[in-house]
Amino acid sequence: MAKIKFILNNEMRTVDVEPNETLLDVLRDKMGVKSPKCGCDRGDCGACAVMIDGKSVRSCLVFAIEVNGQEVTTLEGISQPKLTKLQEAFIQFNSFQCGYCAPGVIISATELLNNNPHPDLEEIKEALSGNLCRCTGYQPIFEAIMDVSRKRKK
Amino acid sequence: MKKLPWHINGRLHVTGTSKFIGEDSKPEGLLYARFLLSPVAHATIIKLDVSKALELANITAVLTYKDVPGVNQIGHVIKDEPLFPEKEIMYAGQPLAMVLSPYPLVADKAVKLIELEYKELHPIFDIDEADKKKQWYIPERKIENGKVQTALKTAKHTLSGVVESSNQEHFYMETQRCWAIPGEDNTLTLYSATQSTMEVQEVMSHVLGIPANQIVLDVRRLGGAFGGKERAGTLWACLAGLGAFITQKPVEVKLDRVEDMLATGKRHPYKSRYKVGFDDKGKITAYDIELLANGGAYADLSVAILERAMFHAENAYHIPDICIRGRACRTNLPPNTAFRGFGAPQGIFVIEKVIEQIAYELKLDPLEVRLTNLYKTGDIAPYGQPIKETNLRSLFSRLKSISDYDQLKLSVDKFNGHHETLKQGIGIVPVKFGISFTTALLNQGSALIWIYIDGTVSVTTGGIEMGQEVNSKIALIVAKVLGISFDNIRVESSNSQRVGNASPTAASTGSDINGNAARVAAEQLRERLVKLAAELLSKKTNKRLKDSDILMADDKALVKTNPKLAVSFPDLIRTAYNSRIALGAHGYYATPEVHFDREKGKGHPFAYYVYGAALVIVEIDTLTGNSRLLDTYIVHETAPSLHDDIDRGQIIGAFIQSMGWCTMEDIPHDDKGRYLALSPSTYKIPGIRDLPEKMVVEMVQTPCKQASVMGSKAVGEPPFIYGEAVWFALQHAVQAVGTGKDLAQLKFPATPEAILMAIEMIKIKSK
Repeated sequence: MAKIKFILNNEMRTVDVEPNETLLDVLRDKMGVKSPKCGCDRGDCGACAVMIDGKSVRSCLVFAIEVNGQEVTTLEGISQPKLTKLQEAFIQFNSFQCGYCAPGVIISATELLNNNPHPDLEEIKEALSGNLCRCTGYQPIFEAIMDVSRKRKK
Repeated sequence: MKKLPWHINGRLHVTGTSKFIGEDSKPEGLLYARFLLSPVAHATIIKLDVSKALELANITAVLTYKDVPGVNQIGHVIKDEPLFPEKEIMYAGQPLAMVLSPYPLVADKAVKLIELEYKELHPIFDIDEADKKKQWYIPERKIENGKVQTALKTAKHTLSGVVESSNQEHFYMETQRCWAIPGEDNTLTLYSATQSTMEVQEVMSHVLGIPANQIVLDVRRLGGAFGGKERAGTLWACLAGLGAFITQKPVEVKLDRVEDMLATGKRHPYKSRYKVGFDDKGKITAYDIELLANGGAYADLSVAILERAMFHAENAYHIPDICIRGRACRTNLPPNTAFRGFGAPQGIFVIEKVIEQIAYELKLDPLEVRLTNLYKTGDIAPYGQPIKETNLRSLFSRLKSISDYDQLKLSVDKFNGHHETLKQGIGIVPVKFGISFTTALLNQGSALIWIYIDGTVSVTTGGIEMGQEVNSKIALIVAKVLGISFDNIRVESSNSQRVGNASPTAASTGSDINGNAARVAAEQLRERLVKLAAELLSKKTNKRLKDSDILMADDKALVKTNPKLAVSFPDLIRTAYNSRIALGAHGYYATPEVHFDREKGKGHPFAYYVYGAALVIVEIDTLTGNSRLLDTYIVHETAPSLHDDIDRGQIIGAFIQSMGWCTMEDIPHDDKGRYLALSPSTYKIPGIRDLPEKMVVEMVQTPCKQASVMGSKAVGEPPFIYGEAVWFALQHAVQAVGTGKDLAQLKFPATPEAILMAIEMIKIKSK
């Protein structure tokens, strides 16, 4: 068991972790952060995406011990204090149905828009290609991201 | 601008605060369940010794069939499925024993200490082998109209063939899971990922040998289901419940993705043999079709699914002389189960392939052959239900017009003429989808509404929220009936104590049944409130107002002729409470007019039909077999939609999911019956790159006489059929490779390998 210290959603936190515990499990089971979901547990579905120092990663593929001293942001952190334009667009365009993939999809799309305010179609596809959604058929996810990008241009 | 309010839990979902099963604070003493899953498909158990596993520290219990206090049986309609097998293992992945521990890693270790010895038996995986050995759950079913054999003999042309479609993994993002919490006096609460609270409650009560009223089901929402939790969730819920009941501690059953994909049933593969007779114009005069389903190890819902496949065997086409036979066959695969469309996609795929074959033989445009055969109002379906109203023809005209079909055909021909390695193809599929549970008794539902003293409203129905936004629709219905804003309504978890005996949320009927039940409850409340409002407002005017003078709208009760004369909804509720008027109501709804006689194969199984049609254009790379979806056009009849965006979401979501089934989702098994693609790295479901370049979805909202809640039509499953258009488009693209002399033999699903093989076959034959 090792004590690690990192910024979680703008707050300094410490937690005891086993060396083999994934960030996903520690966030969910030890820190009460439930937005990252386990969809496949092997980095293929993207439901567990979180940001480490601004970069989206699959938290099921990261050992918790690795984030010592880093900054981790989950969807809970992005939502404070109010919804982002992207979250508003996700509601407006019905970009989720069951909602299970939504946290990971929003993390990936947030990273994209942070780095590239006006992504083109190909760039959106590239950024979201690691996030699986079984409900929506992706079209409304696409539309929400495009909408945020368009409105920024004005 | 968008006018309607959004997904009722939208804000929760985008902030990651919506809670799925097992995401509440962990109950004290929670035990984790781990399973010994069968490594083989068919075997006799010689020894199953759990003593070494039990000796391990921190193991609370290791349970097998011997620990079942009631009946070791979870079969529902056909009682053929044990909770744990006693002697005979029937499929690879079948749970044989359950380990419970407060420490999951310890439980994993204990599973490895269970001693299992078995003698392998011959497993059956192949439909034909099962059929030849008469491995049927029930005898053959038949639906017949006219004299098909005579009609085949007199037909100008005849064709026969075999059509196969394959399985599909649900890949709900949230795997199977359940929390079971024991309570006082031998009660048990199950937070189960199920579409059917009633079934889990009933089966659990048999397994434990306790009455149903000691078992509570509570389901807030599911992370996707698609039919995969209609019946398949029952096993895992009952295992959790058994563990909690025996240990008197809370138990979590949560499958990981590999276990889920290995051990749970899929969409049924079908193999069908047909004979068809038709005239020079492609008009089908006779259709003799035999549908064989690969049902897996236990009956599950296979018989009902077969029935729906049979009901959709003629799809949107009127065929005067027709004989539809169906047999669901037992094999040694995990019990195949409900999946969006429930057999209809499999039945429809056959007739659509037949249509394509006819068009090829007669050198006609397949679209024309489809038009020649379309149902008209007044026709009668093979099982005797009249087609009371259909707009199939106008849907087709619209489809042709929005896709600029004639031009499109020319441009595809031109493209194919100019390109050696790239080929394009057009695919078209219509749908006529029957709405109702074909098991008539399931077509009933209840709702419970409370209006609290501040004027806010709580609604419970039997409907399970799983992303189809049944809760949003229910809230919209209640808001409309009571004339209050959407934001004042909460739609609660589906809970068996608030709404008992709930039918599964399935067969696209979730909104119809539960929405209508909520409407009925809300109407009772409105009646009481309108009466009170008439009395109150009469006092403010010198006229005696009648109930019919009052309108509930904009969060108040107002006088229609003088809208300024009004009482706010909260004030009205406060007065109602003070006047001792009941502010709770139970609504009940049973779909009228649905019945079916299985012996005769005749009846009126559906409340109404949903119609639509889709056209897609694809492009294939003949060197690699890769394909691309270019444009998609869908014209889909929703009738006046309860919520345009929700329905549009269902249409697109179903289409893409079905495209996955038809083109990329392939889950083979090895010779032990173990599925081999057990994660999204090897099982490909559509990703964002698979979206078509252009997607046009037109919803036809013309009012229909045959529709359901507030004039709307069900939308969950019918659009699934549209994905088949992609398969047919791919076949046309492959066809364009050769000289056109031989019909392309494309396998299902049309993976790049399948496309490449079909191309190679064509090339060989063309030489």
